[in-house]
Order: sequence, then structure tokens, then C-alpha cells
Amino acid sequence: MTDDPSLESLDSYLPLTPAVFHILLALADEEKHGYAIMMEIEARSRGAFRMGPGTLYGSIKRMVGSGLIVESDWRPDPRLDDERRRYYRLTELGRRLAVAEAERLETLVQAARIKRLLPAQEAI
Amino acid sequence: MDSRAKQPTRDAGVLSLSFCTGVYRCLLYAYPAEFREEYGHEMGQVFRERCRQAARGSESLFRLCFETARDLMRTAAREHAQLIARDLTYALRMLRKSPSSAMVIVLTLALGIGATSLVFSILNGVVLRPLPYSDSDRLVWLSGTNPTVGIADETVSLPDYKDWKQQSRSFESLAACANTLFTLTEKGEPDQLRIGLVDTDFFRVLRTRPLLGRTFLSAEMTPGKDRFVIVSYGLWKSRLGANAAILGTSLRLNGVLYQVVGVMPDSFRYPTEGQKDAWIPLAIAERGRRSDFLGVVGRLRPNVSVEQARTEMTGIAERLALTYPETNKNWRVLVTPLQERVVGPVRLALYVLNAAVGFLLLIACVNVANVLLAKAGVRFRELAIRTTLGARRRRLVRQLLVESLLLAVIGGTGGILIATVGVSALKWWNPENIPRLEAVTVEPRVLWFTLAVSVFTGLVFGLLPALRMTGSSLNDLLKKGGRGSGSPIHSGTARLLSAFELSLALVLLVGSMLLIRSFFELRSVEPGFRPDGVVTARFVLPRAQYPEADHATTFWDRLSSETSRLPGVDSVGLVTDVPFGGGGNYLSFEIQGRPSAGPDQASDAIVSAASPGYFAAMGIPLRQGRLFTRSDRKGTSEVVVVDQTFVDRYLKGEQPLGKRINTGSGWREVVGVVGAIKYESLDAPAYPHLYSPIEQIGPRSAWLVIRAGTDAQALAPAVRGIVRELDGHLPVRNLETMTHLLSASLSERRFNMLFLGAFAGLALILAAVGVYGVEAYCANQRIQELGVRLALGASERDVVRLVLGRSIKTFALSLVCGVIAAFFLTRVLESLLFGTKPADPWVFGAVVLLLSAVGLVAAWLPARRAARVDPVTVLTCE
Repeated sequence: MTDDPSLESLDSYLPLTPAVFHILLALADEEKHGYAIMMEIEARSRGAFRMGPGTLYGSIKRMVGSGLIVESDWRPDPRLDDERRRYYRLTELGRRLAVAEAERLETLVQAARIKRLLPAQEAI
Repeated sequence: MDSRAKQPTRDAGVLSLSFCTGVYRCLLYAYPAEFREEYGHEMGQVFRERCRQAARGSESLFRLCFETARDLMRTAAREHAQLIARDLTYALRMLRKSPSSAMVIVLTLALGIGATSLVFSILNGVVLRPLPYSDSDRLVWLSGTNPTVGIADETVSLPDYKDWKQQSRSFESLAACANTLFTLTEKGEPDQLRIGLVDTDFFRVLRTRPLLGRTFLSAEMTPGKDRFVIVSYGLWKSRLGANAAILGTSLRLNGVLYQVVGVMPDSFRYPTEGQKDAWIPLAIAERGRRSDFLGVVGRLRPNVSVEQARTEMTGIAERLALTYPETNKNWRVLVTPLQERVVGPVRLALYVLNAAVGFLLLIACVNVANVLLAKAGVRFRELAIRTTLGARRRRLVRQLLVESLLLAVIGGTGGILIATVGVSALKWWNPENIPRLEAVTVEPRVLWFTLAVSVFTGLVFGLLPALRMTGSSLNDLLKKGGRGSGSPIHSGTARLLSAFELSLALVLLVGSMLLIRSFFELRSVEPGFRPDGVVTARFVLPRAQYPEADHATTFWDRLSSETSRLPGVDSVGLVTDVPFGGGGNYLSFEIQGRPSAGPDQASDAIVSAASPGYFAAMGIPLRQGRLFTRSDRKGTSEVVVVDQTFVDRYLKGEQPLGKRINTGSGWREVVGVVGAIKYESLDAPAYPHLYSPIEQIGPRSAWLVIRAGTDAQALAPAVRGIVRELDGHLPVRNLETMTHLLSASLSERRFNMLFLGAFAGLALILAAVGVYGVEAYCANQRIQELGVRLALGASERDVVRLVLGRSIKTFALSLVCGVIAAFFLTRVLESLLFGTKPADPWVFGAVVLLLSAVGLVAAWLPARRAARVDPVTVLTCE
């Protein structure tokens, strides 16, 4: 068990909204600024999930407020990037939540396979 | 060459790019300031990046802008909603922390908003809402007027009406109507029906179709062929079993069978005063041109104005005056929009009430603002700390406004409740003389009005304290020693508000006192008879059962002698038109030996037929000569009794007894003079009155007047019993005490007086509470200074005088302002007053005294408390 009580009640956050889950996924491997998050989401969903600046920063604001992400101190070389851009990274809570949501979705996908809504997964 | 061609395209791209980002940066102001300041810069950057990308051809710039705009609208609304939800949660927590002051605020607002909504509901239902006919703005009422002889508004004669109808072009159609009473028998207990006599076009002019059946045909407007009746929804429901098979059956009215041809819908309202139970064709033989008894309603053609119709009718009246100078000289036509005709008499009073209730609402707002200002002392500390910790002023103002709006909305909800209960109570009370009361409801328009009033009051009373409270920081607080009472809110502001409140209350009190004084002046007017202990009832004898005057006379004779034998009855009389019974018979007359009055002179009088006992029963004193006796019967010499007003106006300086007068039914000798009486209203001067003996006239309609030493109302069953024995088919309606009839004639004034009085009373209480609150607050602010004074040896009296001194100056200022405002504002009341003037010095003096006393007590209580503090306790608090 962890000392952080917020980690105990992950279920109360689930299911996540698509925007929040996408942002958590985008930050799973590295710290990014808003525009990079947006680009990654769009690329990953092949343009199917497009987020406006309002939705992006509205979600970021609430995620920072809930402690899922934090503003990072890390800045790239100023010659490469605008120093005023803020970078965000996952918190422990954010990471656990992303995992919990992914597992939840996986369970659903497996159920869909059992019901033959999706083709059976080939053995690797 | 190629690169040159690309240059302008690139320039255009850069231009549209910077234009789009510029617009987007402006649109960012749709977000709450906090959000914008936190993320606005980056959002702008992200958008610019995307635009650049789009310009490189990855997507359509138009699509990007469209999607971003949609995103902006949705997310801006969401951010605001979240903020408001947070503010509301916070506001609710704050209210729970001080429930008593929240309760005071909500109650004050509920009273203010409730009273405002109630009065607006009445105004809306009675005055503003169009009459219940389609295109009702094109309906007008036509009547005769003859300024030369002082007749302002007169019904119309049949020949005049026919000429108007034939010659006018301004109207799609004109229709005539008249009122009468018929007796319905054979369907349960006999009953008196209020009948409208109407011509063929009547329902067409009002554009009302019957619920069942049809309206009248032209052929049915001939005497003898007019035995058809259209019944009202009310009569159909209550007496005729609400059965559609009623069509084609017959009703016995005044002993004659009338075939039912139609039923009017529930929503149908008669255009003139009073409701009707049924309508029959206006089939009457030609009468003289000055036999005025018709009401005329017309529907203007589209695009014809009331003014054009007036011009045309003036032309027609002039032509008629030339053709028939004997009867029509100086007669003009009055064309009044029907709505104005119906609601005109009460409109001014309702607008006055609406203004008064607006004052009351302002007082309520000022009071609430004062409570909030007083609370500010406590809140100031919290807000100063929040400011120091980085909260923005805008954010705090918003927070405080949400709190006051929340209070206003709760108060508004209470107000709607009060208004709804008030409307039901008003309908239950059912004051007479208020037209269209049935149309008064708390409808959506009123709810919108209430909502607007609530939001407005919330902003008005919330903004000032909010701006005041948020203007300082912790620094100011610390400078003032951290005392709760050391807020920067000047006691001057609070004092100014309470002075304003007192001025408003003064105006309301003066207005209501003027109406109250008028009412009591009017109540003390001598009507010329003694109404106490008198009961009256009206009877209409059907022609079928009483074809000859003798039959009627026999009935009246038996009725009065049987009634006079009842225990407790002092005297019994009969009269054709009882005072305040609603309407009289105004006839012109001739006095023998004098040239007959021309069309330029008014020589008419109220002509009644009365029994010998009438004058004693009514308590009208004999001044000269004799009253009627039982020997004044048919066949004996025809006599008449005149009243003092008649003598004063027409026989001034002459001996009235022995004069001979003709009202159209032959010459009659004046045998007596009785005292003058008020006839239709207490505020109008007495009108000349002529009485003939009832037995020489033999009318079919009369009022029984009983003077009884016992409880007048207890007579009712006995009277009903006598009537049932004499004629089982005769209904007894209008069994009223004379005091009730008199009091009913004052009901409109009573309504105005009670409403304005209630508002003024509320205003006085609110103002007293407001002054007390402010004075208590101001004294509390000075508590340490007062403590020092006490410690240095000042007496309790000195301190009270010191605190009161400033209050008295404020009161004096507010009273002076209030008196000046009242002096000008009460002028609009002039036409509603009786026996007093708008600038009545007694009323002004009494109100100023009352308010001074209330203000002084409200200021003295906190001053005394401040003077009794223990200086040691106060100073150690420092």
C-alpha cells in the first residue's frame, strides 16, 4: 500500500475521458509541451481525434489540478524551442491511472474478442 | 519568374495567418481571466503553429478556424460554468456560516420582489394584456357627448345608431348592445339573468364564435320574431347541465319561451362592465333620438386609425345636428379604443401602485445593501487576506456578486410564492370595480419580470459592497490594527443609503396617507339617507305574468304589507332605483309656465317611482310639504315629490309646492320637497331627483327597502318566504344591506388605499430596520473612540448626544429631500383624492413627525448601547 491516499481510489477516476487518456498516453514516454501533445494525439489517431487548444488546455488545467500531471522544470535548448513553452510530465498518480485505464480497456477488448466482435488475437 | 509568382501567394498566406492568430487572441477574452492569463499565451502559440501547418497544405485553414472557434465557444462556456459552480458552492458555505443575516436578506427581498410581482401581475392582467378578442386593438367604443350641457359620455339612441352604421366608412362593422334583467323559470329555482340585448353584428364585431350552435340572424331582429337566446358558458354549465342537446330546446324567460340557438365559449367576455348570463336579439321598436340606452362597439377597418374614425364620426354628428337640430344639436360622437374604455378608470391607480411598489423594492434593496455593508466588517478581513495571497479583485467581486445573486434568486423564488398567494387572495377578495380581474395570473411574462428584478436587485445591492470590500489589501487591514470593525467602508455611504431609504419611505407614506385621508373624508360624506339597518332586494316582474300595471301594483302592495308585518321591521318602502344600486333613470322634464329647455340646456333629473313608506325606510327627511300617502293612487290627482337639489337647481328662489312638472307622462303637481341624496357615488355632487308615487306608475321592476331594528341579514329567509308565497316563479337577487352597497361603491378606493397603505407600512418597517442597522454599525465603528471619551470622563448623555448629533443631520437632510420629492410626485394622485390636496400640510406634517420619531428611536437605541459600554473592556481590546 502506498502512503498517498489518492492512489487508493483510482477507480473513482475511471473511466477517463478520451481527451485525458490521450494526454496521459502522449506523456507516457517523455515530457512534452502542449503543441507536441496535440500533434502526437493527432498522429496516433491518424487524424480521427483532433483537439482544439481550448480542450487541450482545459484538460491540462484540470489534470494539473487533480495531480495527474505536473509542469516540468525541464526546458530544451532555447535555440531549439521557445523558452516560454511549458512542458508537462506524468505524476505517479497519472501513470497508475493511465495503466488502470489501459487495463480496463484491454478487458473490454478481450470480452469483445470472446464474443467474436473482433477477430481472435494471433499468438505471437 | 517562378519565384516572383510565388511571392504574392506567400505574402497573402502570411497575412491571413497573422489575421487568424490576431482574431484568435482577441477571442481568447471569452475565457475567464484566470484561465486566459494562465494558458492564453500558449493557446495562441499552439493555434499559430497549427495555422502554419495548414498554410503548408496539411489541412484546410478554413476547417481549422471553424473547428477552433467551435472548440473555443464550448470550452469557454465550460470554464465559466465551472467557476460559477465553484463560486456557488463557496457562496452556499458562506450563507450557512451566517444564516440569520441571510434570512433577513432573503425575507426582505422576498417581500420586495413579491409585492412588485403581485402588482405587476395585476397591471399586466388588467391593463397591459390585450382584450380577449382577436385583433382587439381595432375595437372601439362609441358613445355620445354633449359638452354644452355637460354630458361627457352618454349611451346612444336607436335612430342615431342606425344613421352612424349607415353613413360611416371607417368600420368593418358596428354593433349595438343593451343590458336588462330577465327572470328564468322552469329550470330549478327561479333566477334573475343578466341579459345582453345584442344586434346581428355583435359577435362578428368581437370575432367570437359560439362554442355550440350559431349567433343571431338578421331576421331575428324584428319584434315578435326574436324569441331566440344564446347562453353563456357559465349558465350552460350551472343551470343547463352542460348538455349539447340544449340547442333547439327552450328557456322560459320573463314567462315567454325563447329557443336556445347557441352557447358561447368560457373565454368570451362581454365588452362592457359586468358579465352576462345570456344574450337575446335587440329587437325593439323605433324610439326617439334622445332615448339613449345603447352601447355601441365597432371594429375599425385595417389601416384606419382611431383618429380617422373620430374625424369621420364628427362629420356624421354635424350632419345629424343639422338634420335634427331639436334633438341632435351640439351632440358629438366619442370614439374610444375599447381597451381604454374597459381599463381606463383603474389605469392611473394601477400605475401609481406599480411606482409605489418600485419604491418599496428600492427600499428593500437599500436595506439588503446595508446588511451586506455591515457584514463587510467581518468579510473584509477574509477578503484582505485572500487579496494578499494573490486573489484578483475581479475574482473577488465576482465571488461576492454570485453570493448576492444567489440571495436575490432565493428571495425572488420566495417573491413568486408571495405573488402567487397574493393573486389567489385578491381573486378571493374580488374587489368590485376592478375590471378583468379574472385575467390576472402570475404568467410567464411576470416570471420573466421577477427574474429580471431579482438579477437587477442582486447586482444593485451586491455591487457596491463588493467594490467597497475588495478595494484594500492586508496591508490596510494591518494598518488599522486588524480590527474587524476597521473596514474601509465609510459610515458615510451607509448613512447616505439609509437617508435615501427614509426619503423613499416618506414619499410612500405621504401618498398612502393622502389616499387614506381621501377614503375617510369620503366615508364621512353624508349620503342624505341613513343606510344603517336597511336591507334591499330587487324584483323584476315578467310581462307575461304581469301584463298590466295594476297587476304589478297589486304585487308591490302585498309585498310591502306582508314584509312590514315581519317582526323587527320598522318600515318598508319600494322604489324603482335604489341609491348605489347601479344606474338610474335620467329623464328631461318641463316645468309648467316656462319655455321648454332647448338642446343647449341640460334639464334632466333622476326620475324614480317610490311608495309612501320609501322615505321613512330609507331615512330621507321631508323638508317641505308632504310625502306620498296611500291615497296617491291611480285615478287621483297626479303628484310628484322633488328633492332639495332639484329645488336649488331648477326652482331657486321660488315656492316649489304647487309647481307642475312633466317628465313625459303628463303634468304632475309638486306636493313635497325631501332631502338631497347621493345617488351613484359619494364623491359626485348630488343630482336633482324627482319621485312619483309608485301606484300611479305601476312599474314592473322595483327595489324593496326594509328598515329593521334587528339584524338586517337575518331578514333574508323571511323575505324569501314571503316572495315564494306571493309568486313561486320570482327570484330574489341582490338581497343586500344598504351599507354593503355604499361600501361597494368605495371598493376601488379601498383597494388603492389598502395596497398603498400596506406598501407604506412595509416601507416604514424596512426603513426603521435599515436606520437601526446603519446606526448600530456606525456606533460600533466608533466604539473605541467612545470608550476613550468615557474613560476621560464623558457622561453617558454626552456620548448619546455625540452619536445622535450626526444621525439627526442625516435625518433632516433625508426628510427635506423626501418632502420635496413627495411634493412633486403626489401630484399624479390628484384625480384619486377627495377632500384633500396633493400638498396637504397636515398629511406632510404627520408623516414628517412619524418618520422623525421612528428614525430617532432607531438611532437612539444603538447610541444608548454604545454609551453604556465598559471603557476598560473596549480599551483592553486594543
